[in-house]
Order: sequence, then structure tokens, then C-alpha cells
Amino acid sequence: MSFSSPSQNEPSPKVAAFTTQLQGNTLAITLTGEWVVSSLCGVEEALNTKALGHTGPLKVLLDNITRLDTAGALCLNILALVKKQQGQPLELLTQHQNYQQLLVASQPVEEESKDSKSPSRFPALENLGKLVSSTLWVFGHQLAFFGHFCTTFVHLIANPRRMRLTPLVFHMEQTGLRTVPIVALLTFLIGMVVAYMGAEELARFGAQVFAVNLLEVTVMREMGVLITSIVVAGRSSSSFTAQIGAMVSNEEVAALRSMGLDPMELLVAPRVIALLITLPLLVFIANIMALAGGALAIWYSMDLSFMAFVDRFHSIAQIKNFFVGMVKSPFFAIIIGIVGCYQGLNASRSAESVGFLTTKSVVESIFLVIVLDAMFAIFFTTIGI
Amino acid sequence: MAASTIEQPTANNVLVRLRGITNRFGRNTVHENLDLDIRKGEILGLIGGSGTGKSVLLRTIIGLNKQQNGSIEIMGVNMDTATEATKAKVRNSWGVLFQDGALFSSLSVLDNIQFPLREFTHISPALRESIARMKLHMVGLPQDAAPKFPGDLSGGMRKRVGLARALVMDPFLLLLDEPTAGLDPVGAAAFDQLVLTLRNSLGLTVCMVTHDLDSLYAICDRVAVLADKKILAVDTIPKLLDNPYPWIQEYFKGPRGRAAAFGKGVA
Repeated sequence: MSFSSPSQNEPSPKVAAFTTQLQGNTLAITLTGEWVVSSLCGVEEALNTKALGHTGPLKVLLDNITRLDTAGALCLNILALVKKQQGQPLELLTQHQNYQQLLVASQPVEEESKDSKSPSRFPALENLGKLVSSTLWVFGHQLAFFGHFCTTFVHLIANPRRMRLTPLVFHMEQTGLRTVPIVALLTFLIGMVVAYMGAEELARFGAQVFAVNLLEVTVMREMGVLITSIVVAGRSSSSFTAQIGAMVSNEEVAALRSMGLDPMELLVAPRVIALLITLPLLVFIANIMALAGGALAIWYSMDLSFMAFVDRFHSIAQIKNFFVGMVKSPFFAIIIGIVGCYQGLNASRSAESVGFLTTKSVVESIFLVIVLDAMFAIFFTTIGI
Repeated sequence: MAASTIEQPTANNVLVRLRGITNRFGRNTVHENLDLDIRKGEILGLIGGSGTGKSVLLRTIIGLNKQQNGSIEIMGVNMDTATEATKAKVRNSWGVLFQDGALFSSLSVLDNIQFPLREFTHISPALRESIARMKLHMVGLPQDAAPKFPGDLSGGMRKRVGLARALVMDPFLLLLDEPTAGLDPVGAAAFDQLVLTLRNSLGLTVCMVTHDLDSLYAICDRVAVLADKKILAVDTIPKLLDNPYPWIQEYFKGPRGRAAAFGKGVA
């Protein structure tokens, strides 16, 4: 009962073709060549046009074809079905037992009727509603996640021995120590740009020397912490999502839960606490580097020596600017860590979701960092600091 | 019932001919001077202990792993010396089912099955979809699975979709890597019957790597035993039972082997 047709050993495609002959009222169609999936293109449409154009009974003779497969048989069966629905019989005639059986096996399958849910009358409104409800749901879920982290954090403060030291130190190295070079270089350059542009613009008013004030306020209050947070969000938030997401899709997190361990305590807490410790340190380094870059630019453009810069800086600098910048950093650390871990734990079993969520966590954490920074700016202005 | 349907072996109904295959990874030799013939229309089971290189052998046949030595001939085409165009034709005439289906996770079930049609043929989208739906039906899945994504499917369904994709170009040769691993016994038996039915109605040649003794007894015409870096024996199960090689004896006469044989009334 093997259906291998004679030419099975040569996979060279031979063209499918057909000839027609009118026998009285009946149109006889003789098929030739190989009616297989690779040769159906074009000839299938031509056959359909020919057959559907004829009003009357049809005969299709298969005995002259050299090879038939399920795709070829299916396309003949579909044609027969269409003709039958038009009330005109179409006979598929063949002597080959193989072809007969293939024709029986290759029946078209109807798509199951779509569920009878009536389409919405206002699709735009429906989509808006879905968007709002899903956004609220995600927001609520993230808030719950943050709450869970807070209780875990308090619990860990109360029982410091439960804190896992090794992962904490590991993540401090990954998110802190290894980020120092890139943060230092970037903020050095930003400091240079701010000081240089400031000096150029202020020179028009003859107030060139105020470039140091400008540098102090910009770097200490905003640039140092913002640039550092954005770099860390891009670097650490994505790696948290990828690490935890890979663990979720590998069912490692499920294994932890099955042992009665809380992934929040084991996976999330060390990462967020590591960021909480290292981000303020990184911001401090960033501030110093930005000021150094600014000093270099001012030395170059205003010919103000480094010692003169230090003198000037010392006389104008306000400690509150430094604290305004530093106080923001732990909040940013929590946002970056929580978003990264939340998205990671949201991963599904497919590897694709991890990649998607990694992108999402970077975008979301940078977005939230900037929004929170704006809120801080308003807050500090309102209370007059 | 399986054995009665195949033709008597003759010299020129060999579909795949492996000669002197040697595979080495670093200093670890997996295959050495290995010979294997897969006959047209048969279902060949490939068994062997863990780490004997069953999957490596399958990947070597497919061309995903280049052998250090030896020749592979598929449908009379030497896969090492043939032109790229000839090899492409051969590649289009086999279907491969990887262990977990290897479905494209960004495509729906229907698009996964249609993928080879879309890439290699120019047939109309309507017929393409009809073919995909027919294959979905052939592997025993309901039509409402069509719009789903691989992430939403169970392991057994993923394997069936993978099989439908492997079948969509109407291949001559079907290569299956542990098709029943991870399926429940009912699902595994249904899958076995499915492979048998497809072989009988479409005239396929099937080579399957398997650990599943029940599948071996149920559908395999011949079984190839991979041990000591080569194919130790290729034969029907009753004849393999008489093979004195210790691993084969342990395999078929061990508690699991006996249970499977008892189920089939062989031993």
C-alpha cells in the first residue's frame, strides 16, 4: 500500500498542465504532468477559471498525471466542492488506486464558524475602554508588587540575617562597580558641554564667570543624577528583566515557589537593594566627574585655572543643591529595580516574551525616572529649595 | 500490521544511505565509520543509550552537523558533492520534527504550517490556507487551534503542529526526533497511530529517534541500534530479541522492555 509514484526518486519539478475537450454537454479535462505542491502555482487558477466558466457537467481525468500529492488532490477536491454547490456535478476519474485514496484523504476542511459575538457598534470606544482598563490593571499590579517589595524590605531590615549577602554583593558589583567607567565618562563629557555652552552664552553679557554657577546648579541638581539613572536604567533594568525572565521561562522561579521560597526575597530584594546602595555612590562619582569636565572646559575656554575654578566654586556652591540631587537617587534606584524585576517576573514560557519585556522595562524605567524627576523639580521649587 | 505494508527490500529502494560516517567533537568521537540504510516506505526506529549520538546522527542526515568523514546519499543525491540547487530540492522533500516542535513563536499556528509554502511556492493564499487547514486536520487538531500562538499550546499540540509543518510540502522522508517524549501514554499512542496512518496513506518514509519502547513495538518496521559509535544492528524487533549484545538484551528484556512486549504480545 505504498503510494510512491514512479518518479518519486527524481525530485525535479515537472510542470502541471491540462487539456480540455467538449464531449456533448460535458467538458472533459485531462490533467498531465506533476500535480504537486511545488508545481501548482498558476495552473490551479487556470483550471478553476476554465472549470467555473463552463456551465454543465465536468469530468476530470487524472490517469495521465505522473505524480499527485495531497496539495494537488486538495485543489481538485475544492474545485469539485465549488461545482457541487453550484449544482453541477464534477467527476474526478482515475484508475490509480493510489490517486483515489489520496483524493479521499485530502478533503478540504472548513474553518470553524467564528464565535457569534456581535461586533461592537463603537469599536474606537471599545478599544479605548480596553486600553484604560488594562492600563489601570497594570498600574494596580505594579503598585501591589511595590507594596510586596516594601513589606519584604522591612522584613529584611528587621531580620538582617535573612539577607542574602552573596547575591547582594554580586549585584552591587554588576550594577555599581562595572557601571563606573561608562557613567564617569558620560558625565565628564556632559559637564564639559554644559560649562562650555554656558561660558559661550554668558560671555555675551560679560557674565562669563557665572558659567561656574550654571555648572554647579545644573550638574548637582539635575544632570549628575539624571544621566546616571538613565545609564543604570538602560544597563541594569534590562539585565534584571533578562535574568529573571530567563529564570521564569526555564521554570526556575516556579521551582523556587514550589519549595516555599519567595522570589521577591531571593531575586528581587538583592537586586533592588544593591541598586539602592550603589546608585547614590554612582551619582556622587558622576557629580565629581561632571565638575571635573566642567573645570576642564572652563579652563580651556575662559583660561580660568583649575585652582581659580576651585576657589570660585567654593565661594558660590550651596550644599542644598548637592543634597537635592542626591536625595533623588534612592527613589530612582527603586523605580529602576522594581520595574526591571517586575517585567522579568511577568515573562511567560516563551523566549520571545523575555526579549519583548526587556525592551519594555528599559523604556518604562527611563520614562518613570524622567517623570519622577520632573515631579521632584516641581516639589523642590514649591517648597523653595 | 505495520510490517506487512512495506515492500520487500531491494538494492535500489534505499532512500537514505549513510556510509562510513565519523563525527567527532573535540576529542570525543561520537560516531566512527557508521553505516545505515533507510528503505523507502519503512518506519525506522533509532534507539541507543543517552549520549550515543542519536540526535547528532539525525542532525547529520539533515545537514545541520557536518560529518568529519563518510558520505550521505539521500534519494540518490550525494549531499556533499551535489550542487546547491540539487541539495535545495532534496531539502524540500523532507520534513523534520524537532523535539519540542521548534515552532516559530512569532507566528500563529496556521502561519507556522504555511511558512514553507509561502517560502518555496507561489500558490494562491486561499489554497495555501486550505492546505494548512487540511494538514492541521490530518494531525488531529481542531480548526480553532489555527489562530493560536505556540506559547498558548500544550507540548503535545506543539508536536502535532510541528508535524503538520513538516508535512506541508508533502515530503518523501519524515525525520522525527523523539516524537512521543513528554506526551501522556494516550497522546503518545495516538501520535504513533498518526505517524502510521500518514505513512500508509501518503507513502512516507519515516526515521524516528525514540526512547519509547511502546512506539517501537507499535509502529516501527525496523529498529536501528546505535551503540559503540556505530549502528550495531538494524532489524525487526523479533530478530533483535535474539541479538546477544548485552545492551540490546537489557533494552528489550529489561522490566520496561518486557512490559512493552507483553502489551504487544511479542515476547
